[in-house]
Amino acid sequence: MKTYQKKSVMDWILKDFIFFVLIYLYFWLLVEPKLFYLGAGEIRYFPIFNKGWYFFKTQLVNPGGLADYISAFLAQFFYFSWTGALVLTLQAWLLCVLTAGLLKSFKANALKWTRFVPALLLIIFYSQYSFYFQPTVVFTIALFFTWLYTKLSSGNILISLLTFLFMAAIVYPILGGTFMLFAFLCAVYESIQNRKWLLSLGYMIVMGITPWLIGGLIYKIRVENAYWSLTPLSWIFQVYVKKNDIFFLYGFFLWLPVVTVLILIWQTWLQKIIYPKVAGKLVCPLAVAKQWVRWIAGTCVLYLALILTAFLSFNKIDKSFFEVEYYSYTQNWQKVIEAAEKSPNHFLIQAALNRALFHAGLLGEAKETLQQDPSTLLLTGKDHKNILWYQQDIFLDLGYINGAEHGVVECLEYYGEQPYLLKKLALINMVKGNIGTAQIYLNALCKTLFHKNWAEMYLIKIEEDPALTSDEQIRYLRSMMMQQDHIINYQSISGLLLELLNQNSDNRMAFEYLMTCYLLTRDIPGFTAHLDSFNRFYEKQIPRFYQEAVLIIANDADAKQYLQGKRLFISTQAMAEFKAFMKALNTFKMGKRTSLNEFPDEFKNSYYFYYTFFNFIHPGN
Amino acid sequence: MKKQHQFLLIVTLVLVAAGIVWSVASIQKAAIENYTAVAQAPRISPDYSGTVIPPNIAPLNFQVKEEGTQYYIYISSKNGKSIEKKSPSPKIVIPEKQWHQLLDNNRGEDLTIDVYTRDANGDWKKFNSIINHIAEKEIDPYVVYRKIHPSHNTWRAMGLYQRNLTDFEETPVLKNDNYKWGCAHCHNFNNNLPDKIAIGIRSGDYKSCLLIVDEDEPNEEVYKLPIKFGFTSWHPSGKMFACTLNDPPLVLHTCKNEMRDIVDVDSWIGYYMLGSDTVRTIPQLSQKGWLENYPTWSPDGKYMYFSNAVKLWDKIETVPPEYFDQSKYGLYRIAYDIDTNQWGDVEPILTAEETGLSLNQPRVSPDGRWVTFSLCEYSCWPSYHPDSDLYILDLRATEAAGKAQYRKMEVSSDECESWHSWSSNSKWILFSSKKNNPLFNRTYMTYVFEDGSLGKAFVLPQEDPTFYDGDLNTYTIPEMVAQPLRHTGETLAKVIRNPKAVDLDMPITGASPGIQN
Repeated sequence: MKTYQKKSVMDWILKDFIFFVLIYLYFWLLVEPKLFYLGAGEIRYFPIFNKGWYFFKTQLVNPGGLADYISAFLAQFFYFSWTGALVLTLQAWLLCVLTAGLLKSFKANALKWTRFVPALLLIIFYSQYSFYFQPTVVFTIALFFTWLYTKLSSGNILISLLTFLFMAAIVYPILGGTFMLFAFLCAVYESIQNRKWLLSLGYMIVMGITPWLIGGLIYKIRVENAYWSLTPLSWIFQVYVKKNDIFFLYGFFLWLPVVTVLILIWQTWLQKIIYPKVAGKLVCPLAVAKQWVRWIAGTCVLYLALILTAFLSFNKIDKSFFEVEYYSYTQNWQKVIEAAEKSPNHFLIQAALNRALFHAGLLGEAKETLQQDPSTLLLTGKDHKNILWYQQDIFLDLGYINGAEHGVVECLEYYGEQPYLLKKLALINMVKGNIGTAQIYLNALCKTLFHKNWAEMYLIKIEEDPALTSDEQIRYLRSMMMQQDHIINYQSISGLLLELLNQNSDNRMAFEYLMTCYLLTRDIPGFTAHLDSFNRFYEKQIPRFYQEAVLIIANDADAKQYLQGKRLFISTQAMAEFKAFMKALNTFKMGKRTSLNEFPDEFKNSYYFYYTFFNFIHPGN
Repeated sequence: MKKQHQFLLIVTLVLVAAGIVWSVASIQKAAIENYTAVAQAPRISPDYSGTVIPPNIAPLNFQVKEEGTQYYIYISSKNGKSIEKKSPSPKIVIPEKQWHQLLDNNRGEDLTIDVYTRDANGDWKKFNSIINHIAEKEIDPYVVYRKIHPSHNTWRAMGLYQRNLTDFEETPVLKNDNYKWGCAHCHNFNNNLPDKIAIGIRSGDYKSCLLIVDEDEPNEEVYKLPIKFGFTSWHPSGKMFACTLNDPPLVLHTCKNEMRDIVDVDSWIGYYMLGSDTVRTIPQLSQKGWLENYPTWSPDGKYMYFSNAVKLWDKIETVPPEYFDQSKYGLYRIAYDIDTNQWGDVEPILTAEETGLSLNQPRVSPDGRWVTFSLCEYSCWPSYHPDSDLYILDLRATEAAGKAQYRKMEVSSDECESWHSWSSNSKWILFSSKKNNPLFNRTYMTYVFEDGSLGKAFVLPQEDPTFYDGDLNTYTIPEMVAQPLRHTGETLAKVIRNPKAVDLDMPITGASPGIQN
């Protein structure tokens, strides 16, 4: 007996415990759940949670409200990676334990090894940076109730039926449409465990009518919603599910029902037909191997499955996308630049990178600045989609407050009452002097789990200084706000930036974005018109691209007129580099070379190169 | 039972009993005898002081904004039992049953609210009494409003909700998650009753329509007209309604505090006779050079009032059109005979030239005495104009003087007041106000005295007195109803989703069919 216990403990430690510790570390350190919390504008339905009775009460108005409430509460722990990873690991563990328990109830101990399947599927979702927390939590709760039913059900039909009906009346309001999973598994259980076919049929009928009865008639919701709410078949879910995930997602929900049905078919019919014929003929080598060999083989397969799942499903590119947005929000600009390097060439990444480069003082000299279309600066391109999450940040930094407000308000409808958005709306309204409105957003934030302190800090500030004149950030943003009103039109990037600059000539971001716009479009008159402003922003040396632009204009017979009377800030190093570039250009031209690949690499990140070969870089312009 | 368990059980029972005794004793001995009088009224939120309240209104729960470790509230009137409430929290939640008894026994009397606070030393302070007056006449017990975030071009969850004014129950009439995040907007009831309703629906998935509830229709009480109407107004006979067709894009300002603005580029007013298959035009109100909007009927059904502006632009494709910020509406009316279906001539009642402002959302009181409306600098959409205020025009005095007799309502604040409706007894007005914040509309109510003056407005009470402090919804188009709605939720939503609609002939699909130039 003691040996058995020791073995069991060892088995638990080596299989379950270490397995889940590894999952925890994987989620915490590699996946980083905090990235989901912000969502990068990619996660449309991150659950909202508020403290207090009112929110709880409003959640209960629809079937599935309680499960929704629980998942929303747990989702908040994604705020920190370590707590988010803990929630995910506990969920994976619970799924594993419940699956094992159910398989045992279904007399399918031989399939106990499949208990790890849901955990592996969770790894696939989060490694792909897909967020299906709510449906998976609801699924977990459904398994819990099924497991509970298997414990409460007895051989007595009446007791079993009453137990089921009682639970159905409770479980449907808690789980919504996912109740059907619970009912289906209970029906299969009665067929397998007790061979009560009529009872199973009765359960299936209850499964069919309960959503209509409770959801349709009592909750008075749409019948379609009554059946499919909180399941992958609900229309809301269909809106945000990624196409690539559909297979895994349906697999997650359906694998246990399918397995149990197969068990039922096997135990009822196939076992009787096939087993006598194959008994003693087909022998699995592992089945006859010693127990410890089987154990080692099983454990190795498990860890191999874990490593392969994590390795094959981990999406570095998507992670970098999330990282760019996360670090932009936390204003860790160096990290944004690093993450952007790992990201695909995407206008949203470039827009975030522009912001980071500006804040890091590198917009005028980083090679990425010249590797974009000017419309990326303010995300005003006609083909730019889903831009508002990023655009409002740019506008807020620029001091274009109404532009930012529009973006945040639209995002609030698209992404829900996310605390990050509420914070921005509070800030925008404080900047605009709408203190009453700001207080409403701040009070709403006080109901969240992790943003109360920030909100309370501002509420106290408002109490002490209602005009908020002592707040540096607010004062700064107010100083940059536009004063001249007209209807918003994003057709002219330079027009908007000029307007901001005219409002406040110290608006350095507007200035650098404007200069970048001019450089990218080779707008010489525009660029040179602002040369006098350089001393306002740069004490010692102007950024490299500006120096290079000045030198290339000075060397252009048609353009150099624009430099007349202007004070130039050119370093000796820039002069030397320019000479070297001109020499290389002459060599290139004399050699009658046509491929830019043949041009020396050392100049390819310079504005000389961009300006000279603009038509090659941007054919059609 | 083990002795330990017995002991624990006894201790628990004793503690519970002690708690009950203590609670009862605190209620019994609530009255404060020793206190220092403070010669000022207490600050409470929401502000429920110095006003006239309906005798059937839900308890006016409030938060005391004075510092204290304990609060004691004494609510009394001339007749019946007073209400006492001792609370460690400044949030005062008044018992509903006692409240209603007190109000019901004291119609036409004053209601006094005494607030006491206790400081850290245990000393009580008593503030000056808050005195409200209980009106004789009740308010219609229900209001139906639209609840939505203050959105721009996109919205998610929104809907029409019915709030019981006598308690705190709010029930959904139509939530847009039943038709894939569509929009329910302007809703109109016939004579403050729910037997005839019109609800404008916008939906990309199921197509926009006008949802009609007509309880007199024997076959189908709920059906839809496949037209994107703007505003509707039931003729008091219930046989027809007037409706507008508008083209109102949202434009955004670069630096105005309220950045949203709506320009009605083109519009006209038509009407629909129930049971027919045609939306008919009114030649007088379909002129290309005019922007007709917001129809509303006199209670006898002989006049339709509406707002009207000169269209200052030719090109309706340009958004916003030129001079949109100079577009000002006036109040007009047109005679109508329901028996002969004949329309009379358009009469100006109060023109934009007279006011210098833009007049919108006119509503005639059910007794036919008053017309209320909003005035703002320009535009057809006062809700986005902080300068918008509510005005009241005396029709009787206007008729006698031959000139519009109107004035600004006392309820106007520095922020926007707009959407409003009358109670069926013409004694109460509900309206949307952004008082205290320039973004979120809240529902306010006010009492109308015989001479047209108004009581101090107060916000619709909530169970949690701090409810509005963090509520991110804006409440618009508060329409009072005398009975609860009988057709709600899925009954309405399934008609929206159903492709079946009245096969309707329209004179033209766009605005201003141009029957006369």
